[in-house]
Amino acid sequence: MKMIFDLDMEKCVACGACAVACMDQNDIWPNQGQTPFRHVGIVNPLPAQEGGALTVLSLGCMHCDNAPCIQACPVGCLFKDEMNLTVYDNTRCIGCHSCAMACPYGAPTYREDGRMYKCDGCAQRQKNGMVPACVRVCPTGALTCQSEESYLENKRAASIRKILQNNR
Amino acid sequence: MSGGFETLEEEFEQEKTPAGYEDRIGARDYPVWAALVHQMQALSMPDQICTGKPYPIRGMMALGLNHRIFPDSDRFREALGKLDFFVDFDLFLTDTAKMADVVLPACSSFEREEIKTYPGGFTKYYTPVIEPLYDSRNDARILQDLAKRMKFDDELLCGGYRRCIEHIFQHTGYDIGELEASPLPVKAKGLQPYRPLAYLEQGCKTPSGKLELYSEIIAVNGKEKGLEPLPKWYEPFTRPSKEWPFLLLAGVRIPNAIHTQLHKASWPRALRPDAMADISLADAKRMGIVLGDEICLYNQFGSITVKANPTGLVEEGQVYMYHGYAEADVSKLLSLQDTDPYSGFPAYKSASCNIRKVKGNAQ
Ligand code: SF4
Ligand code: SF4
Ligand code: SF4
Repeated sequence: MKMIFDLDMEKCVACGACAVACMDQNDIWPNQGQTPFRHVGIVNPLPAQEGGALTVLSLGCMHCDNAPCIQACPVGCLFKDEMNLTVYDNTRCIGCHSCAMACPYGAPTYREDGRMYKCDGCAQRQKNGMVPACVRVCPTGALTCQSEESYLENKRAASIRKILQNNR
Repeated sequence: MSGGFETLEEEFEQEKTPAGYEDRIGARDYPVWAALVHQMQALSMPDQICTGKPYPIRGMMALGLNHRIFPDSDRFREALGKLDFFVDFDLFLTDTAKMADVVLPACSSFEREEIKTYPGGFTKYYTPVIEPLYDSRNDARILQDLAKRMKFDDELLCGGYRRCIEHIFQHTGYDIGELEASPLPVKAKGLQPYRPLAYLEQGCKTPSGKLELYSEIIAVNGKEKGLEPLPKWYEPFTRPSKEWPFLLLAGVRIPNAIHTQLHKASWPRALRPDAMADISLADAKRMGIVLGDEICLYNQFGSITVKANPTGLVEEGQVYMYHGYAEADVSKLLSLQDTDPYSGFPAYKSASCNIRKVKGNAQ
């Protein structure tokens, strides 16, 4: 079943709980120079949109279709699993950073051992019937990981709601 | 009263006063505060330690004290250094704890019990999730053991947390054992539903019993200090001027740090690893400052160098700088003299400063 990560930007409040849950789940120690897999931020409007609204977001690997990182890796560390998550086996990683250069979201990180580490969509948790750690902890329900089917259905429902609201 | 029902919490705090008890620290500097609050006003402590007036202070036992949140933190630090004996409890070995003769490691709230009341008449008895790790201990337990060892004439304190809770809640109808066993908050028994303005029937807790605009308490206690019983507008202590054009807000908070408590915890710290000052987009543009640039905040009291974070959350002409960074202590830019004469509270949000760009960020 194909799983899709989604962030409802109207609900996210940039509390950072998802980023902390991810560090906990993956034993990431930023004080030892390790880079977290998920980042939360408040983004200023672009200079062209002066006075525009702020955007809050939580950003991790997007588990892209046709993921450019997979194609970029010369030794085939990255691949898709049966849930369409972009997972990896870094035993052959040569630390060339090609995946990071290909990734539009800055998802791959590197550690002292020179190897690449990234969000694997909490594939192990999901295989065992649990939701990803970041999704589980999100207090506002902004961050979700759903099957493609339910994702599309929710999206349709949201569009219909919007149309109805606008026509009131 | 926080849950909407009466406990003996306030009475409990006043149950025992030390023998030979003199004026509380700060009571003479802030008589209105002293008339309303049964605590010392810690802002007066550095001066009292350094001058010995109105009486000398030689020792201190502090729970989670952080000198960096006090204005003119260097003065506070200097005062701590003058004590003959200083004991500090903390979760972390903070810069304040490092000055102590004895540091007692307190456990986190996950490792201890705690009772809390909530609006709407609810009470929850939180039980520990794990036993305290390493040598750390529940701070209430440390206090109890110290009281016992020092043979304090204080049956409640020597009896420990549970004994104190039973005492404080004795007239509430709660069974503490039942509370402890309940995984959810428990509603207080026999609670009367809220009636608007009911408190006016018994009168307000003011000398006149009325809702006072002219405060009797200030009139009586603040007379010597020339405090006004009627509301009065005071100018900010250091109004932004040509020399110090920015309003400095040092009383702002990073939610994930819980004031300054979790600055040293690596996961929440990772969300905002550097000491950064938030400035407005307009000021940043005017001064040619971008995210990550090194900037210096300075005024007549001191200066600190931090990274800049231009953000749409801050108004033009303001700087938000957060407390508690050892490497960029904003309290150095605040004066211990600039306090509210009524409450003694520091002017965290009415100081001013200037900004200078030090170095562009390397990227
Ligand atoms: S690492 Fe980057 S490119 Fe690869 S799937 Fe994740 S977001 Fe897409
Ligand atoms: S899915 Fe798992 S690894 Fe990926 S960001 Fe969420 S918690 Fe981290
Ligand atoms: S936990 Fe949810 S609300 Fe909080 S930052 Fe993450 S996505 Fe946003």
